[in-house]
Amino acid sequence: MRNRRSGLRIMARLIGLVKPLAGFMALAVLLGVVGFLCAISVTVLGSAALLRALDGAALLAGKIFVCLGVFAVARGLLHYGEQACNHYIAFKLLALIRDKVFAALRRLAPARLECRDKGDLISMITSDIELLEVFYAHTISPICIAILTSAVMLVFFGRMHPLFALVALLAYLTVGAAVPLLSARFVRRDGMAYRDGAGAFSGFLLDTLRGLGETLRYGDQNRRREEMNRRCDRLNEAGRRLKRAEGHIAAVTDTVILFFSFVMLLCGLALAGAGKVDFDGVLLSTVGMMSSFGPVAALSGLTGNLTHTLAAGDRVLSILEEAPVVEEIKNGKDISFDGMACENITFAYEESPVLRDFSVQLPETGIIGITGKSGAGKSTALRLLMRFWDPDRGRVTMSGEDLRRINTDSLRQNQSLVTQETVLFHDTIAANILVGRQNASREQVVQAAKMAAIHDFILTLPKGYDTDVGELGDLLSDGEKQRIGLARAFLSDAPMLLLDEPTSNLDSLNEGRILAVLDRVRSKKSIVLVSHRPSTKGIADRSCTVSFGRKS
Amino acid sequence: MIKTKLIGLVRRSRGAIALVVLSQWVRLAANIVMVTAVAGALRTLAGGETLSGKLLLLLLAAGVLAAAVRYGCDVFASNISFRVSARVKKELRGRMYEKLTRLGSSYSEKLRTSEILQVFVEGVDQLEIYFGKYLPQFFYSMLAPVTLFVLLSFVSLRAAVLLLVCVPLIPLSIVAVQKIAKRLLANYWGKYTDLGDTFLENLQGLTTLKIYRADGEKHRVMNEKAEAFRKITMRVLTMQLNSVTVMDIIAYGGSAAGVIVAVKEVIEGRLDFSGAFLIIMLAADFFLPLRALGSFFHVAMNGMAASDKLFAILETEEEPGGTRSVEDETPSISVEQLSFSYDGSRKALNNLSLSVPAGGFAAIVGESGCGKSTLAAVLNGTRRGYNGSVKLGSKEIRDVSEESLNRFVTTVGCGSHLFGGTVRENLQIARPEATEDEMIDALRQVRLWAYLSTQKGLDTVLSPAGANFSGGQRQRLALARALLHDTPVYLFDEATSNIDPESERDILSVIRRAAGKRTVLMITHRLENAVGADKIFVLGDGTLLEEGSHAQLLAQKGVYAKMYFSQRELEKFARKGEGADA
Repeated sequence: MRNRRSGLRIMARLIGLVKPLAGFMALAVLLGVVGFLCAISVTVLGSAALLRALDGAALLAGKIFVCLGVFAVARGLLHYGEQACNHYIAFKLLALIRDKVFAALRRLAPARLECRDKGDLISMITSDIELLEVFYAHTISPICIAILTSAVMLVFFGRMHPLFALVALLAYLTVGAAVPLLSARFVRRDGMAYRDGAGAFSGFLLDTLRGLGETLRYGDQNRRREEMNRRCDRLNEAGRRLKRAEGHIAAVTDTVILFFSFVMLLCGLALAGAGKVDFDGVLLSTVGMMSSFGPVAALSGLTGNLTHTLAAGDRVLSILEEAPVVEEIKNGKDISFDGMACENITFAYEESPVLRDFSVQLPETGIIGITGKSGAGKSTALRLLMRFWDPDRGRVTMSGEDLRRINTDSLRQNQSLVTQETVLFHDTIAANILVGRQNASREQVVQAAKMAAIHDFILTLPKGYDTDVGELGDLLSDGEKQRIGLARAFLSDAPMLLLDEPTSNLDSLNEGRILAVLDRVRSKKSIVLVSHRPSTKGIADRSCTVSFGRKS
Repeated sequence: MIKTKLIGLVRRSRGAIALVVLSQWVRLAANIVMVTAVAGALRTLAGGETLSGKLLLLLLAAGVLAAAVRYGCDVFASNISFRVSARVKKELRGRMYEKLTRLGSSYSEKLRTSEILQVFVEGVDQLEIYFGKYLPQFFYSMLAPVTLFVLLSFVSLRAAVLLLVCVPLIPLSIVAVQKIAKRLLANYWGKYTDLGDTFLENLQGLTTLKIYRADGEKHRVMNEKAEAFRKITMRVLTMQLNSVTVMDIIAYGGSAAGVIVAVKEVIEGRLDFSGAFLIIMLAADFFLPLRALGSFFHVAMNGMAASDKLFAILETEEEPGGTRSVEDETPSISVEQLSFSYDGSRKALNNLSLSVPAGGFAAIVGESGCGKSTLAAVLNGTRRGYNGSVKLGSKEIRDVSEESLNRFVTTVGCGSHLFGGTVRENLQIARPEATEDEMIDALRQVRLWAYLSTQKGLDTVLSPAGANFSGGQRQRLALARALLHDTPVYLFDEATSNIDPESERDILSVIRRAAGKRTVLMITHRLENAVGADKIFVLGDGTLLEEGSHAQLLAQKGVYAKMYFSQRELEKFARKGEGADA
């Protein structure tokens, strides 16, 4: 585990990430500040005009009227500009961060994504990125705007009397910082409980509907409905607590604003009584105070999420900064396939040893089975053959050359892989097979599908090869998915085919179909079949068993 | 801007919504009192006098009173509005669920499952803002300007009229812009979620992509799509921003105009200081409620869109279900000249006739698309719009009530849904009153108990959809649940596909044991599984091709025999390995 960064360092690093957008962010802040000042001036200038009118200076009042009109319209346009900039930044950023994270993961994969908590990692990254978007687009600029606008107002108050500025400073700090920070601590637990509860309840609702068919079949709908109501009530109870707390916080903010407005008025009265300021000062300070809380009040909702955002930022930064387990090789040798070998390799994930002194020869053609109990290191051996990791001791060779000296591109060109579950993309069947070789022709795709014994099935689909797999849903069985994976591997035309538990989720007929395909290509390819199933032995020319880090 | 249908749904909450509006109104009144007090104090000062202690006290009292009232109103309104939205959400979900149960297991025929899911979970949540915030604000934003108008008309009629006239411009501008934005928005929302999905999918498939060196290309396409989408979104947003800008200009321009008129009246000597001050400080309050309404509007829009779908679901026509009951203790199954079509033209089942005697064990086999699963759906009552006759005992299935059918027939499919919760809770779905011994016995029969007893037994927890169990374990548990249901007829629809061969064997032996006492119909694409059946029906293109026992069919040397031997050939390798192992 790396050292945790401090909150400030995370923020600084995160802001550094978006240098290309710094100009837009500055513009958004500028427009925001001027916009707020315009809004404030409508009341303040109105009061000034009133003072002139009372003095009988109608001409001066007329000029102020013009300013009032200009500011009112400007406020609308400036707000538009600020919002446009903010949204521009938000959407640019979302794309930018995704791009950066995906690029980093491309560098780190496959090793980084082959860990046990892959699913968690992926969903975590996805939601982290969304949280960061909120941080950039809706956190940074409001804070800057609040600070700058308030600073301008402090100058305004200070020119009338320093005491006014002091009161205003206290007011802004209380509303913009003290209340939100204190209240965030106050509602954090309730907020978390409610969010978790709401997430769990959504999950329950989803589960309820997905299982509606079963519920109806077993006539269990009334019990389910009661359970739904019970859970809903429980969640509402947590929600009620949270909303009550939030209501109090909003009311406290409001009261604080009122309190400081009155303090300002009383200060003005006291100073006027002492002859330190005139009536203009009293009126303008009070009106200025009352109408300038907008920017700081906007900050009150932000702090609740800040801890989450920082944690998300920390995780994303870790990914961006992480070094890959194996560096890609670019200036090594290109190679043509002539068999592979593991020579006395020993390997451990961090501290837990997986393979010890493992050796195996893989000839140019034929099927080699690697069997063993789950956790014995079968899949690890396969991953070492593909150089997801380098062995700690010993060496893995292709055509007699150490993998560490072969160009990664050349290595990949010689290998194809079918895993326990074939990942299908939301695209057509043809496009999914084309992943194996993107520039292949339609005939080559069909040829690969025929080799994988899936061609006939594809022809029965509504649009044949152009059927979208997303629209098929459950129509595609696991056996068919695996055979699409095989077609993908065949299309790549690599001389080596590595299979990691390709049939562990299939019934014996579907397993038979896969094995029959392998049997047909055994004279053309070097096939490595990793499986815990005894059937592997039936098809392999030779098999070796991995057990507790030893080959037997 | 408001949906009467939605309000009609929640009659009971009308009072509560009125209370929220009232509390906001009281808050406004407190504000007015406070501003008036400040205006009074300032007037005294402007007249060159100093404030007397009594006046100062009065000013402070007004401030404290206003603070207290505002505090109370804020808390009260937020509590009530939460209660309203919570109640509405609960009620709507309840109604939807009841509607779906009334539609019965054929609900998926009439409604798209993905749509129901979306409305049921997210859609209803989106209505929270509509009921909790938008509706009260809607009424308040009409009440506030009128109140202020009445009050300020005593101070300066000209200013008050001017302010009031500007107010309706805001909703008009929102509606105008929204008409255009709505169309655009609906189009692009789908694309947005699509982009997130693409990112997720590319991450999930990254290993595959990298191995085939397709990651660079996918990365490029993803960025391109994101950029194109961003541009379109900006266009939609610009449109929404236009409405915000128009609102802002009207709100601030209106206030400024009010202020200018007030000051002019002072110059002309028709208004004194305190009146002008009152107008300056309260002018913005004419517009603020409507501006807030505008900002809720975008969120409320989503809720209203969801409500359209919700009503569509609630108004789906219910077909009168059957009312009769199955009477035979162990009914037979007889299918005569059965035809069925999903789309009205292509026939999934065509003139099919077959029969299974009471207590018999029959299998239905055929290649995928031959109509096997459609037959299962007709037999368990999911599809009732068939032609011909399908009888359970002496009763036509079409006329049998869903409840009675469910007490006689249990269906086990290939992807039976398991619920999040404990193993016990999942089993109780089939029989709430089952004893622990009965549950354990069922689990023993499917050979799952050995595993579960190393976990927490009946209290072992499943994640939703049983995601933490393997495919084989899920299917065993689903089978145990089906066994607890203990009905005279069992329908196994590909109950052993997509699971490992060990589980397949165990499940098959349970099916065969069940066959002795009950009428069992097994649908399978793997002919080996059907070998022990009394009778095997071979389907092709929705019609019956062959029937007979395994031995008879092999002797016929027809479709069945050909399929059987080709499947054996395929399974040869698997068996070879197992033989070597044994």
